[in-house]
Amino acid sequence: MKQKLINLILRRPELLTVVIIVLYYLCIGIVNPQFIAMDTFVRILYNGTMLILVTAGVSAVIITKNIDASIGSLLGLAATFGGSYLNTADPSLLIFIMITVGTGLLGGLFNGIGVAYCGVPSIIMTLGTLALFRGLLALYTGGSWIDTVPEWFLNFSRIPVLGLYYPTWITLILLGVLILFFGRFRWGRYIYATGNSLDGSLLQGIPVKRTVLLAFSLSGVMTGIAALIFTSQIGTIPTQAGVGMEIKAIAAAVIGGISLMGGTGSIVGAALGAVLLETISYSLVFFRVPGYWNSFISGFLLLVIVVANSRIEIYLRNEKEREIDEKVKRRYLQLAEKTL
Amino acid sequence: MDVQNSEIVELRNISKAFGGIPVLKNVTLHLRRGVIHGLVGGNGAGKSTLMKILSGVYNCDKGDMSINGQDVKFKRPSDAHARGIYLVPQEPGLFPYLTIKENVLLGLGSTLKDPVSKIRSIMEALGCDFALDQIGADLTIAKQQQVELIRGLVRECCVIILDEPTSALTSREVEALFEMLRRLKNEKDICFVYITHRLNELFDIVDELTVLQNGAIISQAPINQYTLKKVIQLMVPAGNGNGERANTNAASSGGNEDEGCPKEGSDYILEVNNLSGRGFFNVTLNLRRGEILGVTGVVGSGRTEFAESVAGIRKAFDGTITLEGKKFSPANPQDSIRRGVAYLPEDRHLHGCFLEGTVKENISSSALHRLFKFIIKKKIEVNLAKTYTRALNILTPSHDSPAKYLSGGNQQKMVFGKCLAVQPKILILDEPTRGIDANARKEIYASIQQFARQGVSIILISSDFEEIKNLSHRVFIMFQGRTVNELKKPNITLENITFSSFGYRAGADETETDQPDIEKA
Repeated sequence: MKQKLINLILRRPELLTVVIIVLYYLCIGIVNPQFIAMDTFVRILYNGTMLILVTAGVSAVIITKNIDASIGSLLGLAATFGGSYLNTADPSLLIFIMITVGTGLLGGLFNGIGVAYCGVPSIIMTLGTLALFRGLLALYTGGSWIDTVPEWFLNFSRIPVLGLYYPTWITLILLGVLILFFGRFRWGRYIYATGNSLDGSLLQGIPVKRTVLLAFSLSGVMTGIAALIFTSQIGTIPTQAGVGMEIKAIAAAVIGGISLMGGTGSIVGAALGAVLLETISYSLVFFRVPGYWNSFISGFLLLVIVVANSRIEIYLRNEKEREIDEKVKRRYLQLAEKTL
Repeated sequence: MDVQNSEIVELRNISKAFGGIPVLKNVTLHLRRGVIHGLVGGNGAGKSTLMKILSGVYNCDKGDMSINGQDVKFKRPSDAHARGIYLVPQEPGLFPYLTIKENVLLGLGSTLKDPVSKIRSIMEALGCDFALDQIGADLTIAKQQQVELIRGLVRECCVIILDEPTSALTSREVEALFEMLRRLKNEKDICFVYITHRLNELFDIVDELTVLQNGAIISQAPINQYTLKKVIQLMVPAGNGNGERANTNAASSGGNEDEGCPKEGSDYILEVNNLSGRGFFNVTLNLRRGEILGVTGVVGSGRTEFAESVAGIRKAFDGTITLEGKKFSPANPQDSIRRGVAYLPEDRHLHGCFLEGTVKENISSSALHRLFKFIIKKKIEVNLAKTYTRALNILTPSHDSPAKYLSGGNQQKMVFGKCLAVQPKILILDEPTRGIDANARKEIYASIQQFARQGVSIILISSDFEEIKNLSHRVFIMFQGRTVNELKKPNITLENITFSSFGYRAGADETETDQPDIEKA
């Protein structure tokens, strides 16, 4: 029974995340029943869109057993390029989207080429671009903020449709597309296989380098789309836009069951992890707790989950080893009897 | 039958060398449909290399290959898959977190119309009892092997290579596998290449046999032209090559070598009694002071696992070790080193030395606890390094040059020095001369003999039977995890070693020693 439960949690870690989210709601609800309301949920999903999108993107990279630490800066850079285009005379929506998402894509491609084709370890590559993109942003703006985003564009994200806001809908649709991609498409499967076993993938003829490049590009594109939403939700783009986003996204992915060892975890789980982090930060606002607790709590949760996970895995491995030992021992006893 | 037995694969004059050492020399092999082709040979005969060339893992240096009469050149394994050749490795390579269905179909592309029903029909035909949505990590080794077979069959492969498929199976699982192979051979006209160390299996399952030795084919015929004895006889090393160098060396130290041989009846420094652990079973052997004890067997016979448990790296779960009259059960390598047991591991680069460290640092690394309490005194460390570079003739520009710039042979001598620096009473050498040049080999042989004369007891583990024969005072042979024979001079001959290492007694006809199935994890 205990074994089965542990196995289920290991197989479907997102279930645990759902349980934690529900428990968290209930706990807060006991203290303040006003928290449990449809409105709360709608707001969390609205505030959380950016985090959900970048978490889904970075998950693709983590599943290939790499990491993308550059998304915070890339988000800022994409928003800055897009935002400064919106400040020109008579901007078109299409070109704005192309610039923002295109910046994300290029950034992701750059990371992917560095990791897959130049053999730079992903942590080094993306820490480098984390600084590089932020520097590029500062050089481009000269340190000033972009704060004249047109009113029509700001209104765009504030129109509710069927009870939810536009950004939430976009996020949900994109999540659906990604779930389909990972579940049904060949290249989605390649991403999992590459993280599972690099040697095995090579033996089966999987184009490993292109797979890694794809994962990084996906992360870049999702970051670009998050930058679109950033621009429309916030309206001003400071030079600090997106700072710390990478830590939150990686934490959310891990909390949602994406293994840092690669090869396992689901997009649904990653999105749920993001929702959990967003719920916590919303509840802090709700209770007027100072904002710096936010960062403390997400870091703390990340460590707790990672440590708990590795403990469970070690426990299971030991159990399995013991089982094999027992089996071998029994076999030996039989043999000893036979030879006597 | 003629059509059925038509040739599919032809390998012509294949040669391959690794680091200048030839592994295959002009090998020509024909494979035909509906035939199970056995491939046997001693350690390092080149079986695996040949099959890796056929399946696109390695490229050959010389020679060519044709399939169904067409010349082909494989650059990578997927090229070989595309031409219908699939290698089932000794350790199945499933993706642990993907389902069986995903495992089978991955990398297949979209050529199949209804892959799932095809897998199902193959599974039904093979009698597999696992589900398509189980994940790879959940299956036993035997079932993982079936998945590998399914992988090959879904790809409509006509040649499937099985590399020691039975080494991790129980006897019932072996029966099931054979049943499966026979059915596939007859119904689907598939050609199997069957590599094994369990020679009695050959007569159950194989139609044709090729015996490799030293990278060349020395015999090839239908199986009914062989007897077990003949097959083993063919695998006895010819007595040239590597061993010749060992031979001349032994000859040069000729007379005093016997002198160094400890007397019968003198006390044992190490006694191992019925030691069992994962990979070895009821190992019983003993070692005298100043003796060179050879321990050999085919690859996978449990030699390294046994040595590691004496060195404290893995735990034994049964049996006793007595060291100098006192019970000895090491919990970790530190324990062993403190009690005077040093272990030179099989893989130099992985476990033996710190490539980035200097020669000096490497040599002193295992002896730090003996020489220093907190602070490393430079003078003592340098002296230690000097002592052993001189004693072992390690060629290095200085003690401070990094180990990675040394040649393989000098690296190995350095690791040897590291083991000696702890002043061991017992030195366990696991494949001490693997992959190093002839000169270094000769020097290492001389050092081994010299240290034995100085009273160090040595357990020499090696796949090279000539090395064992020329250096050892006594030899224990392991087969499938057990010590099956003990040879004393003058019975230490290549023939006796070869027979014992395949689990038979030399001279005895078809009578086998009992062969337990040792499950390896």
